[in-house]
Amino acid sequence: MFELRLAWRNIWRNKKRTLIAGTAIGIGLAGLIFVDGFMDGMMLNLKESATRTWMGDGQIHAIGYRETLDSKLTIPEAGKWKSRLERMPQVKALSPRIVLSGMANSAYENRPVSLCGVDPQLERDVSEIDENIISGKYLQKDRIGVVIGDILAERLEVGLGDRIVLTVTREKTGELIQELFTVSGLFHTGVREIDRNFVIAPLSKVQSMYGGGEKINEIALQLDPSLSREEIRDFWSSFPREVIDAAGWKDLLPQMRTVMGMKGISMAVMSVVIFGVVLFGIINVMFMSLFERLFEFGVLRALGTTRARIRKLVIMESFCLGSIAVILGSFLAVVLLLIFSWTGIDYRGLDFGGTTFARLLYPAVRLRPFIWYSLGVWVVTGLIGLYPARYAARLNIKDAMKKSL
Amino acid sequence: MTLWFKIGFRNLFRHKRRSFFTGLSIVMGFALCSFFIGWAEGTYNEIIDSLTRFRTGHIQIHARGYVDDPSFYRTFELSPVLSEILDSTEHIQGWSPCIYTGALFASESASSGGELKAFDPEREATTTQFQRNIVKGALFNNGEKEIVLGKGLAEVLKVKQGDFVVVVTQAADGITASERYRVSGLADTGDKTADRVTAYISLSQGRDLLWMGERIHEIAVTVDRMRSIDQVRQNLQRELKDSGLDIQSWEEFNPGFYRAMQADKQGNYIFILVMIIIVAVGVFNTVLMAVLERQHEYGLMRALGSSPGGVFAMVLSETGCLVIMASFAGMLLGMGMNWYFHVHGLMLPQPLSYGGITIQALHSDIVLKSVVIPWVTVLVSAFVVTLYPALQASRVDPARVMRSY
Amino acid sequence: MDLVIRTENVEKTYVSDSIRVKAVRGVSLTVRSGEFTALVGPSGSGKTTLLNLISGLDSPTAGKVFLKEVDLTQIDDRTRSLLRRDHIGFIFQAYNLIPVLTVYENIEYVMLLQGVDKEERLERVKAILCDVGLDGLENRYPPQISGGQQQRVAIARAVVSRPDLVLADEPTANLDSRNGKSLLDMMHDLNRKTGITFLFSTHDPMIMERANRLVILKDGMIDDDIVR
Repeated sequence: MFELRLAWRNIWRNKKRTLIAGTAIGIGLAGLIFVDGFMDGMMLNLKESATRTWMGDGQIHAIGYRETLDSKLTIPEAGKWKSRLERMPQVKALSPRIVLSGMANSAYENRPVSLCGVDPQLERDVSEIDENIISGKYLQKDRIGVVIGDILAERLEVGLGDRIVLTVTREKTGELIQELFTVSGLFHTGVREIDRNFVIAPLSKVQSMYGGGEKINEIALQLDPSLSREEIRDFWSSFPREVIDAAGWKDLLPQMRTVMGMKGISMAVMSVVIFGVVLFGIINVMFMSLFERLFEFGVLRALGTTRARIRKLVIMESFCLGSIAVILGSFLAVVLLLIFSWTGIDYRGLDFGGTTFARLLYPAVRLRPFIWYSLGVWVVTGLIGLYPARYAARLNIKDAMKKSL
Repeated sequence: MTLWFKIGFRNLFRHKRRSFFTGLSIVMGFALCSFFIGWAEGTYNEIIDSLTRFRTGHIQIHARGYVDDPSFYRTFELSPVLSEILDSTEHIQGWSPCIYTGALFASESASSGGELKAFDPEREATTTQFQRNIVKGALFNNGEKEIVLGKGLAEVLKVKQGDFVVVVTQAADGITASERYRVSGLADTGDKTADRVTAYISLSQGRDLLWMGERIHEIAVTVDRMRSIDQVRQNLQRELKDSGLDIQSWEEFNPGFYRAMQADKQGNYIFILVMIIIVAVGVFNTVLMAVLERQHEYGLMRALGSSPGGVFAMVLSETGCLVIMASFAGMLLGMGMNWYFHVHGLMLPQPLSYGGITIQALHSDIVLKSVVIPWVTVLVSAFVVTLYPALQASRVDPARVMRSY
Repeated sequence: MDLVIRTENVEKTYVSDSIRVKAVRGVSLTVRSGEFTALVGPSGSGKTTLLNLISGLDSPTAGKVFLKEVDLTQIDDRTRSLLRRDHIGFIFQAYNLIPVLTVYENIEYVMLLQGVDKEERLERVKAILCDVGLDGLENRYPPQISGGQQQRVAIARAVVSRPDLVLADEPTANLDSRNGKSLLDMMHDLNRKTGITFLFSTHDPMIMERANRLVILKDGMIDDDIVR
């Protein structure tokens, strides 16, 4: 198309100016893409911190358990649920648990703890406690040892091999029962809540302390990672709500919703701000290049170019500028994302949204933000051209040709 | 001197549209800069204030090393000397001693591990005013065997006001201690996690239960104004130099939150920087354009006898005028936005946990920083960006330029 | 010999710095096909304004302008643009060409607007380049060729679209006498060969001498009309 050819050559008449303007817009674009990736990375990090270390992709409880944390609310017909879940193709791994609130005493200190009885083998596939052991060994089925969080160990002033007393109340009688355990391993997940409060012990041992037989009050699940979002949603809603409470991580971590909502608003605000600031600066650049060519526009009109064609030409020019900005901005975004994908951003230890950043934050690198933000920037930059285009089209030919700069 | 200014000022009106758009981008950049600073300060100060004034106090006194290792045995004596010093130090609004220990709480139907905090209700009323958190019933009476439970803990234990709870813990001599208390009230501190595990008794009761004598774990100090925190801390550190005590302000005893805040602030400033860069580019383009346009004018002035310095000054004053006027407008707009959000605030749809505390609403603050920083950055960047074009203008060769006219 | 241009008592008044200037007052002029006519007069006599009125680049404050019997004052801007495209060619004193288009592209521009297909455009451009003595320079850009060459390209562009009328506003003003004569010869040649009407606005005595009709303007009115 002729106008496109002419438009493209026109913007390169002043290389420096076009590049500077394109870079300014490009910086805005790169900023948007990067922050988008950063926030996505942040949410992913939080989600992984929570779900991989202990929570799992979701959990099964008796109805009412999550609100009160009453350990007496055990899962009805746990055995049946267990086998049913094992047969479901969406479930990659499951771990039955009994979680009791109690106290841990060492020779020096006492602290409230969550005593979690787990099947060591099954638990391996669901949580990452076994991978986060920093000293000693993970639970073995036949040994009576417990693994505790490293912060808890510090608070209790115990180390590997030391003994602690765990106190819980029995199910039926409510009487206190205490047992002596050896600390056979320490773990560090990076999630403060877990490292500070959790004692992990073999399921059978905790069940016998509790006195409830084979009762459990929690089943943690890891789902097949290839499931789509809809499939996951369908999975969780397939459980009858009056009988059992099955919830994915999104429901177990309600704060994440707020965090995700925040991203939407933040990006919207940022986009508006950046576009606004960019636009007002760029309009002048466009007018500037127009004024240098007024006589030329006059000539074109004299030769018989219609107003509409002139308008088209100017708008093409702003779209060309937009294209340059998109190229520069995308390149800059890629560079930024690469740099931070390599170094990571250290937010470790920060508590946010109900959990802790356990690992280095890496920005999420996806194609979608590139496409959408680039498209947006391109369209908006092109549309700014409407104003100068109108001006150029409405020029009075003879005035334009008065050789006024 | 004033001649340059006059010419510079009037030149702005020669191209109203151009001046308008450049001015607009400066106004936007300035206003947003101002607003984001006020917003960041406001929300952080609000959170800090909430945290310190109503939960932890601005300054805390512990035995050396307690913050890193809060062992039950790291205590210090609340001597009359210490009390005297605290009472007499300027700017201290109130101080409150307390004791912490882990404990097992048992009711008729349930039990749970948790934390027990013992404090002096009269002193507490002068600092963090815990009694405001009581949602049912009342705070315990000093000296009575009464206990206040966190709302969540009461739910777990299935008790209400008037019921009895047994507290089992380890006393200072290492022997298990237990005592029965009447629930005088329930507390909602806003921190759901804390409310599920914490119970409160009076300091004298705590001392009895735990055989503590005059020893305590912590003194929380509130000051009258945030600004006084440093001063008070330094005074106390001086007075208590050889006492083996740690005197720390909130940044030091709550580093997790402090770090989260700093990280966020950094992000904020980077965003502002990007905005200012984009605005500066716009200003640069416009000034350069104006200068290139008026070469013959500058040539004329030089031919008539103006010095290069004079032309330089004229260009600077033209930009300067625009920047100053636009900055004023931007300042008013930014202050307006800050004021609006100061008075009305922004409600979060769901409370969000941040650095360990929960927040629901955010307000902006009116601070000097949100005026000074934008002024400085905008003026400096506008100045820097005008230097090159101004230099070009002053270097115009009168002969060459006037010939082509 | 039909009428190419006919003006009826045309007037143009414009306001400059709050002063009313009557640039053209009551000019009734007819130009016939094939003429090689020069509009002469001192600066401020209204030559350029009259030319602008004739070509439709400007609208009269009173009176009418007929281009091939079409009343330019009664049609909308779009139609006027199309009329110019098809019937009028322009040669300006300077800055005729679009600097980012090659010589070839500059010349073919109006034909592009007219929708002439590629092969024919190629043919006609090549032919006209020969006529003006510039073949070989198709792919150069205007800044790369001399002023005289640029004006020749302007001529090529003006006639290649087969207009009825070519308006030339001081076409030789920026050239030395040798180039000026060369240009004049070229235009006269084309006028005789193709019958395209040439209307000049000029100070140049060379052109005045060559023209076969001189319209003398003074203070916005026709002072004298000499046919040779």
